[in-house]
Amino acid sequence: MNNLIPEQIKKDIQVWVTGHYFQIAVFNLIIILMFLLYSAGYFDPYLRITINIIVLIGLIVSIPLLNAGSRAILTVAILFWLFAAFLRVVKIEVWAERTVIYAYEALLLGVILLIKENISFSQKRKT
Amino acid sequence: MKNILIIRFLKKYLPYLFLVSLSLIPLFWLINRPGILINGSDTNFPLNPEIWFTRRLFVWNSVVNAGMDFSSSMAGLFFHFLQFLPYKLGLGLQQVQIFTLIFWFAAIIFSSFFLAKTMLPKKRILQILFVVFYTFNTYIFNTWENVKVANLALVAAIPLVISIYLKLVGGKINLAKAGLLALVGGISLSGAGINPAYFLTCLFSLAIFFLASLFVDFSWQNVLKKAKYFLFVNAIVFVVNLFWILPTTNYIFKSITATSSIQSIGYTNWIDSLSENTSLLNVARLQGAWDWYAVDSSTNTPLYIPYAYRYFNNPFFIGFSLVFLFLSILSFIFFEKEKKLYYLAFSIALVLGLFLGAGTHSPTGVVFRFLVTKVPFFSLFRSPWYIFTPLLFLSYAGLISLLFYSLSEKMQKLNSLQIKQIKTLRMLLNSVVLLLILGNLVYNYPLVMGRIYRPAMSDNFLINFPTYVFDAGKWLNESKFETRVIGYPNDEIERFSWGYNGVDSVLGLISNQETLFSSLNQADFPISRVIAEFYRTVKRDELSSASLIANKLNVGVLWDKKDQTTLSLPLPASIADKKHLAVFGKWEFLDFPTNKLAKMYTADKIFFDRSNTKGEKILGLLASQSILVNPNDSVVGSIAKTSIFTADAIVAGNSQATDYWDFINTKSNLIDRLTSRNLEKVDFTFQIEKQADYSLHLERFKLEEFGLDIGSNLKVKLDGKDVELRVKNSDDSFVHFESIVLAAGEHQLSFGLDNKNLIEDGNFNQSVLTYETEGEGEFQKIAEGTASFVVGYNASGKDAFLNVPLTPFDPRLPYMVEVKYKQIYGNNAAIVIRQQNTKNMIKSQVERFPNYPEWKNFSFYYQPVETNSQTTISLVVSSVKDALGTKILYDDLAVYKVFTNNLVLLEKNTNKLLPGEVSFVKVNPTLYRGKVTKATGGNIIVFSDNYSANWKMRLVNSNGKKLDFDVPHFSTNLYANAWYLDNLPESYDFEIYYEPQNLFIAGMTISLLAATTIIGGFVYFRFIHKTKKLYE
Repeated sequence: MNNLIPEQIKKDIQVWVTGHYFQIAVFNLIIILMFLLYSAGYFDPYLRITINIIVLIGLIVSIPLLNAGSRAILTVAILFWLFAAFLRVVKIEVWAERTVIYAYEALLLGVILLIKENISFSQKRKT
Repeated sequence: MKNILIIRFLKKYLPYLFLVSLSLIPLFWLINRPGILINGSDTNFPLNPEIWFTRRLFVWNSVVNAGMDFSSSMAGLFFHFLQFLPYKLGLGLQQVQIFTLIFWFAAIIFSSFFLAKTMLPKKRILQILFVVFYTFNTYIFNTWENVKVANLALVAAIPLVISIYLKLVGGKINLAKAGLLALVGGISLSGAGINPAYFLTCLFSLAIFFLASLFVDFSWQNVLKKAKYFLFVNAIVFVVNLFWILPTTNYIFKSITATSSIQSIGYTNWIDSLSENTSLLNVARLQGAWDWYAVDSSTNTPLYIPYAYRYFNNPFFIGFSLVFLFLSILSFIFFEKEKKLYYLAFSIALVLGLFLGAGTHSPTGVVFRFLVTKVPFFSLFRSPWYIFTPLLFLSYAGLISLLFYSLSEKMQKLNSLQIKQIKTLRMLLNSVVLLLILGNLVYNYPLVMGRIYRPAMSDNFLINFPTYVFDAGKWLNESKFETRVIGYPNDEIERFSWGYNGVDSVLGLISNQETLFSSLNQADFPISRVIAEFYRTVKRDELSSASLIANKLNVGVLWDKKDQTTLSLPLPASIADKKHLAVFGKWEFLDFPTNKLAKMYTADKIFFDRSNTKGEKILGLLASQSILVNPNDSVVGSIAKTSIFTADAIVAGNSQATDYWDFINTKSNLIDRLTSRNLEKVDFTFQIEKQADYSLHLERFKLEEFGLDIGSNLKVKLDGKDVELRVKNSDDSFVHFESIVLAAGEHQLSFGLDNKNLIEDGNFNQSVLTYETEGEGEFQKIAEGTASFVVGYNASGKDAFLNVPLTPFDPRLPYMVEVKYKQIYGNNAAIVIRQQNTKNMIKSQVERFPNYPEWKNFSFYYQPVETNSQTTISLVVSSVKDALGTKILYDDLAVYKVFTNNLVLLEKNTNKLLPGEVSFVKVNPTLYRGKVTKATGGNIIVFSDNYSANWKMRLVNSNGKKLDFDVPHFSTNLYANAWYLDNLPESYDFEIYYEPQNLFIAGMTISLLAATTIIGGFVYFRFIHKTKKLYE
């Protein structure tokens, strides 16, 4: 399995992981904490922690912690959409609709990031 | 050399040939169908395009149900001009329709091609990809199916308007050319004004591109420059459309409050029902239209959209529906910086299109609902899926084209590949694009092949109008009746045996004859209440009342549609036998017996409506020139002299009718079923404002069947005391009693009724059970001492019924059913009422009783469908899984007619206005000129078009000069206009005009001036200025 991944990509991932040890740990902790709160029914009924909220928070915190750019977030959107497509094809409609909501959230975040990354401010040349 | 030229020629013109051939698709929808027109339901293709075009030159449409504001419909002026022009040139109706369909198909194709060329110059195959994805999609099926003016205009205009802005920003065109193109865009967008929300969506999509253009290169200098271009395009589109914007804005601001729902202008607020199937999954696949999901509950087959089944179940169709969003998001991964403006704009359109298109569907629906309730006038976006989805497929077309553009660009830049490999890859890429184009055309086969018109279904849109429709239209246009025509039967949807169905009268398609009918869209309007009362009296054979109401409605002709598929009762013989003015095929036009009161007349007597929203019940009693006014109307109150001429008109509350309607209008509950009801007495309650003589009028309908003998005086109780009501006379509608003096205050008048139980052996006292049974259960008559009852036992797997026929049965009357029951064991006791005709079950009402092991009374009302039918009441012993079965005892089954007749009290007042004589001329639907002669004292002029504060009266002297006189204007007869004129000479001239027409004239003048200036500017810069420069 390890041999299937090209060397360069492996190296890139290693470099990225080495540079983000702490952030990855924090990211994982947040997700774990969210799942714990979810299973304990915390904040219910004032704020129900749902899988949707966990997905959304995961997507949002990945931006500052994992330096996720628009491309990464939009890739997540594609994956969610493909999973939703699979669920629709096998006619599990309810799950498909739920998954599309995650895809939409990722798309929305991705588009916001895309705009942010591409806003360019022209500066007057100093003469 | 010749081959090279041919190849070059083909390379250059083949895409255009392809686009032109796509534009001709509508030709194939109708080519093998001689005489057929796409029409019906929401599609209103005029059978006389000239009438429809000219109707849109006026802000008031007087043809439909006593007139309506027509502000936004004027936006269809260009759309209907395109029908009017070829019609005037002599083309047949089908040719006219084909011409307009091709025009709009081509408009969408070439408008999107224009944007594709701006976005991806010299990339022909990608341009075609854009066009095909924009023009052919499942959203647009509905647009074409109903040939929706607003949607077509919006879809055709969006790419054009965006392109103009982008070309301006890119410096590709000058302002003169941009102005001319914006003029074209504005004209093609004008149809969207029929629903202003569509018009705003086009400007919204332009704003998205403006915003994106700011993002990609933000500096104050750029902001100003781009804002200038953005405003320039907007301004031209806006000014060109001023002819409808001015009256429509006036109408919206006057009719709808900023925060209220659109219900205030009479439409049903249907956002939630339209958003029922707009989940993000469905919206993303462009499958959010509600009618796709309507299925027959028994067969699970689509009710309206036969091809929807294929889209839901066929793997290719499911797969392809998922491709759009996938490729669109994928395009961001292969982001090409050079086109970032387009990426940003389409990405915003994508995200917003998904969110807004979903409407109030969860989870994003919470935000949409917030916008509807909090943002002023946002409730105008009442059909979110239909209004906003163009943003979505615009972004799909754009992003998918950009994906392949980006891939081809990236391929070019791959240094590691040889030219041959690049060529192969490019061919491969082009093949994928071609496959996508082809796939999309196959995916949208209902549009390509005309299946959107559901040719295989009985209620399809392909209509062959019988010749008698055209003959009748011609006759009506030539006859120029001064009275209105009212249609019968009165179904809210006209369904003809030859296929056409519509919510408005079909006569409107072919004639300018003013027509009345039951309106589906305006059910709560005052005029609809009066029309409904007219039909009620007709069905009850109350000809005198019907005639008086007809006078108030200005009805002179009854149009009996014998080809209408209906459950409605046939016309009573007393009306059906009236003089036939004309017969065309299955259409008969009858001379309705009225005084033929003109649309404008002077009133002689005023009644104050003290009916508590039942004023229409009084109209059937008021003499022709007597009018009914609202005593709480501040304008009426301000007229000092009214108290001299007015009298009170009161509709008494009927205790049986009140209980019945409370039951019908209340959600099903047990409290109102576990009570006993006494229908052998009816109490009329009423409030008297001032002591006076009042004449009493009791509705005549079937009084004898309730034991009321109108041949002699009636003994009743007034406020608990015995009194005798002396019958003065009677007609087919009312029994008129001598007047009695009533003091101010609340009163109760009680009538004893001989209301017989319609079930002969309801207490099962006969020696044998005479009723038929159904099912495998057993019913036995048991006698215990003097009492007897029926025992039902059922251990079979199916319900068992004891069927008791209801005779005599009159569907015009409501019924009260009561029975005693005792549940011994097993399933609950129940009653089923089945109303059926010789062919079909009409209505079935099931009443399931609560578990109760002692004798218990259960009573409820049954509201029959008013159609020729028989009714059976079935006592049910339901099946149960338990092997012991069900055992129920029933006794004292009784069915009574409900006495819903009205009692009207009219105050006696012998003072009468001395009405002058009115003569008038209808100049056009928004202007009437008239003259009053022999006027003495105060005069009330009634104008029987729907009341609107925008109707104004102007008095003019014999020289046509306006007289400065403030005329009080108020509503009368629930729906009409009235003006009170006093202190005027014996004869005077007047004009009644609909004020917003001035806004149309002003708007049209500005629009035409702007168009002339733009064209002039373009000609000057294109030719004169250029020539001058050459000489210099």
